Amino acid sequence: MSSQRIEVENLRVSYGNDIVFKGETFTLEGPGLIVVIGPNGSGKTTLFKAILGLIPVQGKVVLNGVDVTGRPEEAGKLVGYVPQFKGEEFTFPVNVREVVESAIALRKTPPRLRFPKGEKKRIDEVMEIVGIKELAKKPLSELSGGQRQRVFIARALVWDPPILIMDEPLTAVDPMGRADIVRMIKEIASDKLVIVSSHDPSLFIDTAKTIMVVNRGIVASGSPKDVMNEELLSKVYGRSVFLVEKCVHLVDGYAI
Amino acid sequence: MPYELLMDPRWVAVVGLASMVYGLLSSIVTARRLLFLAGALPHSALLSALLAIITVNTINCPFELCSLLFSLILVSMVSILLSRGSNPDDATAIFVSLSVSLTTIALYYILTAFPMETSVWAFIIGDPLLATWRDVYFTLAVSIIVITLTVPFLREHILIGVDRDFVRLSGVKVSIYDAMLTASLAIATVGLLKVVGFVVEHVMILLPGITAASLAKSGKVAVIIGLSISLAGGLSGLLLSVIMGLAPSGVIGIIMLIFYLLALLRRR
Repeated sequence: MSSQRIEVENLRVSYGNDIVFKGETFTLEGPGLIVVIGPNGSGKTTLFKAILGLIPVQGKVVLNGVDVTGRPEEAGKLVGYVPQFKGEEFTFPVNVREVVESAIALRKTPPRLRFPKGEKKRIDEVMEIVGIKELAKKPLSELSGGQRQRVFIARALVWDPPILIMDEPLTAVDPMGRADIVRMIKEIASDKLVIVSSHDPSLFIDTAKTIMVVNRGIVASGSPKDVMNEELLSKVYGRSVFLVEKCVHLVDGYAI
Repeated sequence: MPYELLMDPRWVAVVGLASMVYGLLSSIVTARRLLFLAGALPHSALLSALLAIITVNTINCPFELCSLLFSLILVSMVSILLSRGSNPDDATAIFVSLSVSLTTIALYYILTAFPMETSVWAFIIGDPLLATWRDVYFTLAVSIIVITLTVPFLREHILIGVDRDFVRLSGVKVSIYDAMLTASLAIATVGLLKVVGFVVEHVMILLPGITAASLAKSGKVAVIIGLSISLAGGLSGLLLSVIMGLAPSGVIGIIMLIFYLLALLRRR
């Protein structure tokens, strides 16, 4: 198993005068599942983009010993990324297979047209595992939220990266689709470092190694037992925190 | 009279080449979700052509070179605005207002200062029937440049439209593709302005891509449909306009609109 380590040193990120992170330092090590939680606008996506080198930052981001600060082309060699989509991005008819194979195609030198047998087999294999093989010829615009997320998970997995970052992978996914995607993410986290942001940490709580609470800075980071307490979460979410004992989530008959 | 005798090869050549280039660029701007930019481009093309007329009449500079240079500057300005995260509505409003105002000033100046030397009508309504062999060679050169800058990179452009961040993470220098597309748009819109005219250029750069996107099920097929629609619309429009004695670019525009409406009906 290859190494899976993210080291962030004194990370500072701002959009003009709006400071999102003021000097965060932390290390994440895999395999395992890290769940990032925080209210809307707290900086979850900004944190992911900073780790991936997609936005200008101060400080240092090191992935598996490689300094990738502000260098997405280097971060992309180690991290598979599943971004957050709103749905309006897919007005042009790109089909499922085109999206999945793009992860391999873009890593080649132009014109990027040939796929040897081994690569085709790998693409088919991953599409089969993620359950989208029969959707191969469908354009993204015709897929449900859950099917679309599977496509982007397949795209991130197809070249077998050691680290996976998923930004709100359950957004716009119906309850049954959620159960399947949560199960899939837990399986992937058994041999990769998987970082997931979610508004519903309870879905991942039994598997999560670390829960990181973000609210314009890293407010807390630790095991679910340490972090998921009413006092701490109330500071971040205010009145939106409810304590419910023996909570069971039912998803169309599938208990999670 | 057989139709082939009605059609001068120069008309077919300029309309065919222009249709091919617009079909290609229209598919790319649709995939890249740059329809705001595409809508503003004919304005920059007309302004560039008018500024070039003034320059040619003031200093000794070839018209084609001057107009391409002005177009590159103007299109780069608006695409930089958009790529830096400016609201597309704001960027387009500012750019169109500025270019339309400057166009009117330039047009007035040309019509009063050099009324005998220049005819600006071809730039506004377009007239492939006036094409000379020099125009054919120039259109061919524009087409070769645009095809070279875009066709080998169609996959990258489509994928940048889907997820720009992912393409960057895959090690692709997205800014280079942006620059190649900006250059292609700047060169094509001003270089082909005389063939289709300012008015119908809007249609040619917007409709083939949007129509193809509503019909196709994959990126590859969408580009092929976009190209086919543009070529079919361009050449059939030319033929019909000659038979009916109407303005070619206007008929081409109507045919493109019919294709779009048929695609909308099919989708319903």
